[in-house]
Amino acid sequence: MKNIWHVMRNELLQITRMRSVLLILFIMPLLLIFVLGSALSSQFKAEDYVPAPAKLAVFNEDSGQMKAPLQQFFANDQVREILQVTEVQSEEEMNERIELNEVDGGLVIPASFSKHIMSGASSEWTYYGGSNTSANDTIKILLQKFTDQATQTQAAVMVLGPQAAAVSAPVDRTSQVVQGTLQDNLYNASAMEYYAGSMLIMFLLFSGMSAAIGLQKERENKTLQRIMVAPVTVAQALLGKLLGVAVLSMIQCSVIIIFTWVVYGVNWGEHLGAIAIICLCTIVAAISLAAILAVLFKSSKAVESVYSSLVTIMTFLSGGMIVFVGDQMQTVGQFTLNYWAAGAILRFMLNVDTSTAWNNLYVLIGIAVALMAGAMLISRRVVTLHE
Amino acid sequence: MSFIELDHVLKRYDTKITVNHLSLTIEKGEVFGLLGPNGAGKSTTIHMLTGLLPYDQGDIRIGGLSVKKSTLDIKRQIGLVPQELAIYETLTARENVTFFGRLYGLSGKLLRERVDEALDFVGLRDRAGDKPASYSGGMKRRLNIACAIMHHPELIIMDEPTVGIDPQSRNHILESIKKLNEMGSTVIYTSHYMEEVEAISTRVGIMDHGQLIACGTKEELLDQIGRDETLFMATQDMKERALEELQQHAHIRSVQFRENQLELLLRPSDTVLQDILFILSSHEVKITSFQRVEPNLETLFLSLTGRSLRD
Ligand SMILES: Nc1ncnc2c1ncn2[C@@H]1O[C@H](COP(=O)(O)OP(=O)(O)OP(=O)(O)O)[C@@H](O)[C@H]1O
Ligand SMILES: [Mg+2]
Repeated sequence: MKNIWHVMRNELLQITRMRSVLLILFIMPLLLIFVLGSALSSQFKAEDYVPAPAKLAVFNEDSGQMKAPLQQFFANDQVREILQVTEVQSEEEMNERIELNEVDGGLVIPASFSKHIMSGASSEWTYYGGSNTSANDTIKILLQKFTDQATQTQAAVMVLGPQAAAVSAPVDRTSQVVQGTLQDNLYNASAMEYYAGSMLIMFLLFSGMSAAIGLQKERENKTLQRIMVAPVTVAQALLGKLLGVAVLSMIQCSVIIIFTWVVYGVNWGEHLGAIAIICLCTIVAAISLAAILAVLFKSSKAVESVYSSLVTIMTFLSGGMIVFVGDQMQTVGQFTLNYWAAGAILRFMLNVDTSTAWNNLYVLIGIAVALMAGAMLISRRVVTLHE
Repeated sequence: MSFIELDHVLKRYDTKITVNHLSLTIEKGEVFGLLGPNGAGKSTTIHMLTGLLPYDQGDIRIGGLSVKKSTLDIKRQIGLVPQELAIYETLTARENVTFFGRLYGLSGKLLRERVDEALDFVGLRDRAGDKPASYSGGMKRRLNIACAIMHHPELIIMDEPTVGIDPQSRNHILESIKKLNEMGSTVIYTSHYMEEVEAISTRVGIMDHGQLIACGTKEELLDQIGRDETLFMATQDMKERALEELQQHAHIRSVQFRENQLELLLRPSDTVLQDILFILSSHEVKITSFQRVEPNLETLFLSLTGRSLRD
């Protein structure tokens, strides 16, 4: 136990001697949050979120049972804040309006739409998007929500028969749908909060890099060998070094949170405990990943470049630098650590959709535990492999 | 039971055997010199001794304990000065020694005393607050030693501690090895400088291609090649008679003469040099230069392997 403590203290002592590292650890994240947060705040509709509503032209050939619920959906107050619907008489007129930029997109509902839905078959409508991508995304998300409800109705129809359709009319839950849509996209976050959250995660991930580099340097310096000659076990040496980095990262974390709170006015919300757990998991995952890379790659230069590319790519894919609303990016993002960590942090910060946040956190814990187990399994090789 | 026993130790890297059935015993209080050319397997042997590297066959026992089984107990008794510098450039000399001292369980006042003592010992006390970045190569080497001795280990192992340093630091290091030995530590010491090993070792082992090809005191080893000395002379006006008389001398084992160069292989004796000078002067042969080469481990290595110790 004492050995772990000695190695950890030594690690911290060494890091504090390296001015450039301290600069990267503490000054960089604060600067980046500030720069990204203020430069890109126009992308966000911050606290006073009043979106210019997206405009949609609808050519509806369907006169069945779904017509009324759909009209009700479009007429709902909360939907109308985001979406202005114009009925058109033909596909040509719709296309013309899209071309003239009078509307952001067009929707064609075939005559068979209601019939299909009510009979439980799949429903097909066609959306034609214009050039405004964010408007497209907004419209698609809203239409998706309506279809989701319609599908539920479909399911009810299949189980209970056609009369069930009336009971679970999609329109009843419209307001919830709209609320959920907004929350899902985290539009409520101000730029500062969004970037404070995702930059925090990114820099915690980079802490794994300092762990990996520290380990590699120590190996190249032969001081790791020297530690192993002393009466210290491999596990003690590794744990000590990694704990050193973890402690430093937790300090970094607190500095970022307190500084952004006090100086930039970022509201970190009420779930600080949960946020601390997220940070800890991220650090554990990052350090384990780094330890694994340290085994796979021989030189500290290689580990450094592989790891930093990995973190940068993950941060980018998960939308930590530029916000994506597109579906594909979301899907790719799910394969990144940042997606789960930043997603959970933002939800906890904003105190919305905390059940999803907890789920994200559980996934994150799972990832961290798995990576740590992997690192433990191959840790012996860190010391003996390239000696 | 000897203090250190290596019993048919074998180490493979992939398929290459780097230490091949090495058997060796070292007693308490010895300064054992391990001599061998680059790649002979000296460092590999030492890493196995310290428990840093597992061995594939045989066994190593230190103080009766198998290195394989009681690694931590054995590690406590050992101080290793590695071949390559193993110090933290970002920490001061004192912080370096202190950190490693803690790993050996030292703390508080005792730790501070031992750190000062070790730094004193290698002559770095007055530079203790400086970082090694500002040190000369020799000073770094000395710090490398200090980091291995502050826990007063029973066994000190030094892997080429004098490689690439100035003569002054080198002498300092050799002196300190003697002193550590006098203070009670057993020392194992590798080098490919035979003069060093000759000067300070009680016994010498010679390694080549992973095998111990000779082992014993310096005298025992030199006896193996018969202690013959070689005498080179540049002469003028050499006479046939003179060469014949030299050849007949009981202590002269061979006489070669070519282009005024005389080369004699001698069995050392009190009078042989005088006899040679007498024979040559009585035939009025002039001697223009004179060189006598004593037998040494270099010539031993040469006679054992047909190669010289350093390339
Ligand atoms: N990690 C390793 N992997 C593969 N081969 C190795 C490894 N370490 C050493 N060797 C090989 O083992 C042999 C012995 O090496 P070792 O370092 O023990 O020699 P040495 O006697 O200490 O030489 P030197 O005087 O150069 O220090 C060499 O041929 C070397 O190439
Ligand atoms: Mg060596």
